[in-house]
Amino acid sequence: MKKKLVALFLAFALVLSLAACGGSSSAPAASTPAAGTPASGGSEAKDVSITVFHYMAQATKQAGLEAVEQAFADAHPEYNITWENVVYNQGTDYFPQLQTALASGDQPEIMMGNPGLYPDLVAAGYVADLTDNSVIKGLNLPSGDLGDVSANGKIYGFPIDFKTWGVFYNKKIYEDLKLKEPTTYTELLANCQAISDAGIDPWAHAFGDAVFGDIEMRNYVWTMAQAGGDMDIFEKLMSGEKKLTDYPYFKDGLELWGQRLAWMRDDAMVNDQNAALEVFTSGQAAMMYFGSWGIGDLEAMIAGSDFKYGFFVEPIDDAGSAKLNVQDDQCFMVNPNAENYDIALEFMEYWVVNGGSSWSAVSLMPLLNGEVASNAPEVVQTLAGIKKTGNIAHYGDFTMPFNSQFTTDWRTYLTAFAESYANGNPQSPDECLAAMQAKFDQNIAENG
Amino acid sequence: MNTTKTDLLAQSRRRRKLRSHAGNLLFLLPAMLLFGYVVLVPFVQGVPYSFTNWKSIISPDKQFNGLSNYVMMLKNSYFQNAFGHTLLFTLIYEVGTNFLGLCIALLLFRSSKFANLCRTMMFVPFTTALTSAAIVWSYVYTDVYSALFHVASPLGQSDQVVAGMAVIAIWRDMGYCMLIYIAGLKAIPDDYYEAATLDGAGVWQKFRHVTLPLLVPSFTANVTLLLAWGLRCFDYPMAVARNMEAAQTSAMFVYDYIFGFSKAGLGQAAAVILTIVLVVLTRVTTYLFRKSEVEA
Amino acid sequence: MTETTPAAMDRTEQLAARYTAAQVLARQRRREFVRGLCKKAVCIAMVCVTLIPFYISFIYSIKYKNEITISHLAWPKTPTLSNYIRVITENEQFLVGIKNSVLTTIPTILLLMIICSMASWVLARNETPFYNFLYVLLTMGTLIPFQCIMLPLYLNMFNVGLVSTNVGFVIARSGLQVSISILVITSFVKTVPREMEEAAVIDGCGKLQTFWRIVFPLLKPINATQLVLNTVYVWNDYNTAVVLLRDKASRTLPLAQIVYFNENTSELNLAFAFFIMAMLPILILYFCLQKYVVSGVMSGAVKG
Repeated sequence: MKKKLVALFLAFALVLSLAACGGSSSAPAASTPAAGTPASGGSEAKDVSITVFHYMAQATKQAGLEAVEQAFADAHPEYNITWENVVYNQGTDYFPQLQTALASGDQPEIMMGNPGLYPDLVAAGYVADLTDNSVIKGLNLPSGDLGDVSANGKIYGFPIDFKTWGVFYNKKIYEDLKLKEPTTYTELLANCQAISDAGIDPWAHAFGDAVFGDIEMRNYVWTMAQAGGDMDIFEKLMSGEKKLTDYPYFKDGLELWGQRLAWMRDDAMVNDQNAALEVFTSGQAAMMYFGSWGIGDLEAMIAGSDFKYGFFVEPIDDAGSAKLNVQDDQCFMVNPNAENYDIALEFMEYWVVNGGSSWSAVSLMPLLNGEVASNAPEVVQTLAGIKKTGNIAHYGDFTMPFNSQFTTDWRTYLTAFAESYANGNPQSPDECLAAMQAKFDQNIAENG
Repeated sequence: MNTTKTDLLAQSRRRRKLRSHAGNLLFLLPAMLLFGYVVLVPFVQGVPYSFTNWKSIISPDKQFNGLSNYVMMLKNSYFQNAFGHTLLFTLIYEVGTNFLGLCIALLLFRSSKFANLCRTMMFVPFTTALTSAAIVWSYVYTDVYSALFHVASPLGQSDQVVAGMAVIAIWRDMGYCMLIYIAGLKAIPDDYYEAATLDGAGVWQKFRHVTLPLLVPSFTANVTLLLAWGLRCFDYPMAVARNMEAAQTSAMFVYDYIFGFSKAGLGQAAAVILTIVLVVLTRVTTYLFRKSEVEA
Repeated sequence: MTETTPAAMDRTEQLAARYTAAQVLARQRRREFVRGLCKKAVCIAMVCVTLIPFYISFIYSIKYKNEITISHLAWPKTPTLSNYIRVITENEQFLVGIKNSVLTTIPTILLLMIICSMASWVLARNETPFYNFLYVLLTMGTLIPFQCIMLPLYLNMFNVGLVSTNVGFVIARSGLQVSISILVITSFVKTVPREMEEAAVIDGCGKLQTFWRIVFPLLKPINATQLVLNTVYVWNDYNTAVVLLRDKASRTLPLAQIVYFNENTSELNLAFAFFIMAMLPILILYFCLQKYVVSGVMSGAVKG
């Protein structure tokens, strides 16, 4: 009897839970309810659903996206929009999942990403050509900003904001040691030495995230290559037409970087951005090479404390050639095959024209035109100001960016270079470049 | 008359056998269907891609190119290295997990309140997700290991990262191994030990000549299972060593080639090679252990 | 010993002998006591080392963000539950994730319990080449890396509308667990004597009746074990879920941690609070069933 009861219970539970999942799966997704009332014209609100694939995993940026969506929905009562914001982790899942979805015939309206980094999407026709889009033209953006959303000379995306990177430093330590923001590389190294002599680690590093090796090197390579007029450097490297050693920039850059890497903490290789920020904000290290995307996190971490930080562009020589490096950050492509392509296009046009303030106020990101929400920290305002002057090195001015496997390899071997310094057995720049080139050659052979 | 009777009997026996056969298959059907739909069919579907030059999985272009993907993959030194890392990981993981699992089992196999509590505690790590385990351990390495011994975390060093990840895996799975060894130890009758004591055997001799041989089935169970888990290693490096050449595993390689780098044909070939190696290695191991089981 | 003492021995001698015997016994007992104590100490040390990662997670999860940097592993000055509350209230995927994880894990483990017991019973009782082949085939699933089947599996499920549904996830997760479950249960069934089944057949029981009335109850220990192990796998699954569950409303608990474990996160304390809460249900289940888990593994897995 007891067994029967147990069996009955099991069967019941099974049926119940299966029924429950059937029910829940058919329920509509949680979404921002759009204005459901009919428009003033008396026409019925049209039910539409817009799917946005993105990799803004941080809560602040997700909230920013929702704020813009809400603002758009409020401005367009004629649509009753269901938003499907599909988020994945960029480094591990985003592109794989986006591709899997597309391969199955799924057609999301909006996809986040710089078109240059996703040539497959463009080639397969999943990205609308926006070269003649009047709204984008009307933004009067500089060539670099447009270059970052272009591929093969055509515009394929809406740029929202930009990112940049450089040295964040602890103001108190600088003041205590009577140091100045360096304007030459020699001064920078002297500062490092002075800080080190005072028993403080000069740098907090976050090489656990591969992007940090990348941004520390970009500063040298981009600026120098643009000064040298080599705008097609990445294109030629990826096609195999040129080798890394055909250019002086990589070797010079690694040599400069290597001098700075002489000061590394034990935790440099494993720290992620968060751990390095902790080291930096707790005063254990005086400087951190860091990007604008994490200023919000930094601010949150020091809220309520008297920690003060400053920012300077890292000098790359003693002649003052350094420039602020800039890259479009959030970019969105629109899929012409999607059911609600028109509305998605309208939404993106709204975002770049009117939605910027909603976005910037929540995400604290600086906008492309140099504007930034008034509640953004001082350093963001400064960065936006420098961008406005145009004295910058913009990734978008290169004919093509490194993409997929090349990006991964570039970062992997730069991280390995940094690691060799942490081990006390430093690689020479030539060794690093030889290893990287060998991997590039392998990629190119497989592409052929 | 007689012949017809036996004929009938044989016929009915055959019919009964057939019916029991059909019943058996009916019992197997749900599991087979699920397994077929989720694992077997997708795997078979993927194999043909490995003979094409398919690039991006969203592109419809794919042409048959024979075995060239396999040739290219087998010659690819980075793929070979990834295999090397995977094998090294598996080796450390196998040895460590089995050794510790056995030691703990020897300490805890006699039931008492205290032993039961310890067993439960030792099993707790197994309930964590692989990714979470890896991330928590990255803090164990920096905040405990580095702080105590004043050395850098192994996860940041190319020559230690595989071992570092293996330690995480050992920590997570040794409780599982322990349970299986305890099972094996409990199955050994006490009179074997008594007989050995009468023969004047010492502790080590008893372990060597009584315990070990009778534990072979437990070894087989553990080694084969851990072999499959170790060789498919994916989550640990993905979580804590994504961009280290020295931490690339075969499964990561397959994932990146198919989904990240738009080299689906090559990646699928790598997948097939990986599966074949896995099957062969596991079969050989099982065979060897079974043989020693018979001999023991 | 005293009885065997020769009568010729005088009293003092007897006393001396008895004293020595007591001494020997005491020494022996002391040695055993010390050995037991050492063993216990070793065990406790081992358990402590094993639990260090949980200690770290717990300490970080009850600290305010800025205190982590200052006091690292020390007990916080003011322990707080605010991180837990923030995870529950601010992470909109958390409660949805719990709901979906419960709604998918329970059917999966129950389904597996029934169908794998059935299949394993047949496979264990028929050791002909045909069934051995089926056994090898079915258990081969433990050897196929998930990355190899990910794309075709997704495409197949998409075509029949199972993506982003709990039903689809239950099917996928059960299918992926079939191999290891059958591997373990089959070896268990082989240790169960056949007599009772044979008696049932003689009594005129059909196959289904025999299975349900006789065999299934006998499999209770191994099914309890499998219940816990499968729950561990299904509850913690990230790789399958990230492929198959796209809509926010369908996502399971492990996917809710994307907010914490990504390239640029600074919410370490929330991440650890999340980790602990995600682990709790399995721990509770394990504590409830641990008696069976051990005995199930014991009688089953050994025969491999």
